[in-house]
Amino acid sequence: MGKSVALFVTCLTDTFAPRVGVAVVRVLRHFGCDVRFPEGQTCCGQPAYNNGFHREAAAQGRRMIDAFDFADYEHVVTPSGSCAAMVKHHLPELLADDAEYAERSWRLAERTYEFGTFLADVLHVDFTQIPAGTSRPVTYHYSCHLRGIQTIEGASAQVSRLAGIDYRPLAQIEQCCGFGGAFGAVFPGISNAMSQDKVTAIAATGAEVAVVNEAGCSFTIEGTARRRSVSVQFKHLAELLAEGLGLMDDQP
Amino acid sequence: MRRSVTRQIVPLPAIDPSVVRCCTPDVDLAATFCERASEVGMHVVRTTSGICTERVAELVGNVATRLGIAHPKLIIDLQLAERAALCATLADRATVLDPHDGDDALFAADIGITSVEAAVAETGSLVSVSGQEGWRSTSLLPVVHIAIVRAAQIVPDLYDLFESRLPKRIPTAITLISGPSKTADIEGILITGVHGPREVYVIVVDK
Amino acid sequence: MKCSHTWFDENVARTLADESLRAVIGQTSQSKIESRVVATAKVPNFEQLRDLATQIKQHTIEHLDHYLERFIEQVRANGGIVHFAATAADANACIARIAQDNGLKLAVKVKAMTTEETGLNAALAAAGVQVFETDLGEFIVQLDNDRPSHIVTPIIHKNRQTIARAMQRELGVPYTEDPETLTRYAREHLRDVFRRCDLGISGVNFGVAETGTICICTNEGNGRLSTTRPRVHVALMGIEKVIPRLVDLSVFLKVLSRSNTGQPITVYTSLMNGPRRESDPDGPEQLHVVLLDNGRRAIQQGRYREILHCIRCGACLNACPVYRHIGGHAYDSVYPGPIGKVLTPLLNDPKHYADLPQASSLCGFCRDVCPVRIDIPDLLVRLRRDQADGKAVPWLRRLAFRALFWALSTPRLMRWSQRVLRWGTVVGAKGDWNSRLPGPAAQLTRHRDTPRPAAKTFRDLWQSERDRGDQTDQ
Repeated sequence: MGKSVALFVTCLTDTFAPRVGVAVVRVLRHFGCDVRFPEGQTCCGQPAYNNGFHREAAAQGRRMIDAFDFADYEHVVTPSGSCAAMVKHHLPELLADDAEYAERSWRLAERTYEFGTFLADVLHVDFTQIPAGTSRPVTYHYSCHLRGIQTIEGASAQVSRLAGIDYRPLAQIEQCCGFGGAFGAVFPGISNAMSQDKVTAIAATGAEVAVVNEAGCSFTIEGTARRRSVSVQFKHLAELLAEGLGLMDDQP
Repeated sequence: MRRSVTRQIVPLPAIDPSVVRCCTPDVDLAATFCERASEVGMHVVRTTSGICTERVAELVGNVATRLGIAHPKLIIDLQLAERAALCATLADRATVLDPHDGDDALFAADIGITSVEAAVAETGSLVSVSGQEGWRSTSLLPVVHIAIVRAAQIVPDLYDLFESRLPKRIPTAITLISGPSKTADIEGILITGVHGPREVYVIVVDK
Repeated sequence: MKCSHTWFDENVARTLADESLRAVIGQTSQSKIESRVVATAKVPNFEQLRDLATQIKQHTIEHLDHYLERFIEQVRANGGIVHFAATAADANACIARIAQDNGLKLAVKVKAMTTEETGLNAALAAAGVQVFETDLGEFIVQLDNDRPSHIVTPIIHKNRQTIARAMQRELGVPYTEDPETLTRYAREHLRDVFRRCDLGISGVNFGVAETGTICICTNEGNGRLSTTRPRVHVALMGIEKVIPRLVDLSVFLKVLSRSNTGQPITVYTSLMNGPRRESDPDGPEQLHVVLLDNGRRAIQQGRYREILHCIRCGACLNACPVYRHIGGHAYDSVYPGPIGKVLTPLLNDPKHYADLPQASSLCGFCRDVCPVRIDIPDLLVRLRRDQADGKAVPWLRRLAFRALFWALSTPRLMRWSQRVLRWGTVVGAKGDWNSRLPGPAAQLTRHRDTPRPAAKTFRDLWQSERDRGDQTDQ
């Protein structure tokens, strides 16, 4: 019996990387999940939370909880580690004193998973059995907000152990790409310096594909790479897996 | 005047040695100490008690030759009998200064020779304490420090040192020495012998 | 998104423009982080030691008064003299008075962040005391009339050429770029000072309540010389430095230097228990401990208490991607880097330092390397919250956030905003990317291309995706 899963696509993926959402749906279905998309969802409140607007973050959180009601699915899966962390760690903290929502925030927190951890921990997917789907060299960028959710070793193993992959480890993998939400807009100079380092490190691996599991990181690094004419293709783990499993043939 | 009674608090639980120890008592302590002391940059010589004096004298000669000092000046913090034996052996090869003569003697010394209160296998540290004939300056001012460690003085871990190895009345100064004086302030390049000794020799005396 | 150009922006711009400075800070920081990895891997119980260190600090800071009281009693029992300084000015005045009362004229200093915090050197100079910094890095900082830029490695921002020029100019020694010779010059110059000095000034790494012990951790030997040679030793200790028991030292010493330089322990760990006794042949005749509050007690009673757990290892600076690019001076504070972003606005005027809590991507690498597990990103978010609640966020930024929150408040508004944004970025667009946004948005594409909302968002694609799933299910 497959799991019933609600997709929390996140505002950035919905807006800028819809193909990642499609890939997540198809991979989950491939592993027998029944996938729903609650139409009421927008944002988990992370931008408000990180920037100190906690009243607004709590309001957004309540809307999030209302949108994901557990009548007909067991789990919530999202292709973003930072949004998963927001729902799992910060929402319950923000709504702790809310009579109506405190309990529900815990329930949502418990059942929410970042895509890669859901595959590993709930579906027990054996990554070594999934074909890499590309013969080109691949590297992996560890998104900072996966800290506390997945270790660097655990997260990168989901890429490096795919069948037949030409994996190139990334130097200084713990370093941030410079995204950081509003940080990038308020301090463009510092953010750019960080992104330049990241692109240089990616280019030095010789990889032609970089796996980045966070929409914000992905467009920050890709935007910088494009400006420097570094030709690396950026993919979410879901896309890499979906391609390896032959699920993306009808996508442009 | 009576002190105000302190509010009672729930004290911290005792530290569990099995959690905190990085070196357990069941290992070969002397071997571990020698290995770690070498790792932090000290030169280790192992010997037996009978020939300790000869080994120290020999070391003094070697160091002096290498530093290009014809007749090295020494300050020595050892027990009376040992000190006398060493002075006799070195009589014609070195001058032993008396630190009681003041700063001139202390600052003139090329080599300081000391015993230790204890040694720590985990970190390769010498533990030196101040007290009768325990000059804080002897292991500090000369460019070379020679320390004599008896194997029985080696404790496994910092935990053991602080938990049970220090004298009942705590000495004024306890110094853990773990290597020659070092800096990496200039471009991260390691240089030894900044303000303290450039070379530290440890003679480990086995039973 | 910034309404005005601040002092911080200017400092940042200056360092960002200095490629060689960033390279040297980046390389040194990275090599330290790598040394830390090697050193901690050799200790299988390192994570448990971090837990223990955290637990001890948490307990001590929670019961700070209790342990301070015991510490004071024990220092006095050891024959030491205890002073209290509520402010930086009090601390400086107190130490100047000790110097005057004892006729002290020549001071040697061990690197101590507390003395940087109070600006002690200037105060002593005004009181007629000549002060020599004796840590090699701080000595060079003093020679070159510079400021330290790292709490452990103060001249991380200087290369050997600038050091050589400073020594040549100030000490009259021949110019050399050989670090060994430069170090030798400093040794020789300070030898004579150590011989003549009458006042030694240090900070305190750990103050042990149980025994009244002052523990200082150094590598060069200047810490020992400065606390052995002079007639009077004054230790300026932040009140948060107290720990309960002597045995707790074993926990902290194990994590302190491994976290920064990767050494198992610093070369010299000095434990001092009062002034010289009858039986001691050398050592200072007086030991003064000056307990510094300067804002710490207020922190201890508030929501930022956790920051007082810090043992000043400097690992968070080494880890921090922002620190690596802007260097320590940009923070205009004694405490730079992640720890400084929290501590500086708490110890000083938060308005002046409003940029510091914002200048972080909240990446959390600092938290990963902190030996006492301080959740620095969480504290930064709390500081941002204080700014938002106190209307201290610049109006333009506040407006931008309001617009964003409104746009994300319902699926309809979000859909509408996605379309507006797609068409709003059409000028200068190349497909789904834009490299030349117009008007005030231009700074978003100054350094990198920016993505445009997709022609069909996921929400648009979901209908066919759902139908596709229904077909495969049958």
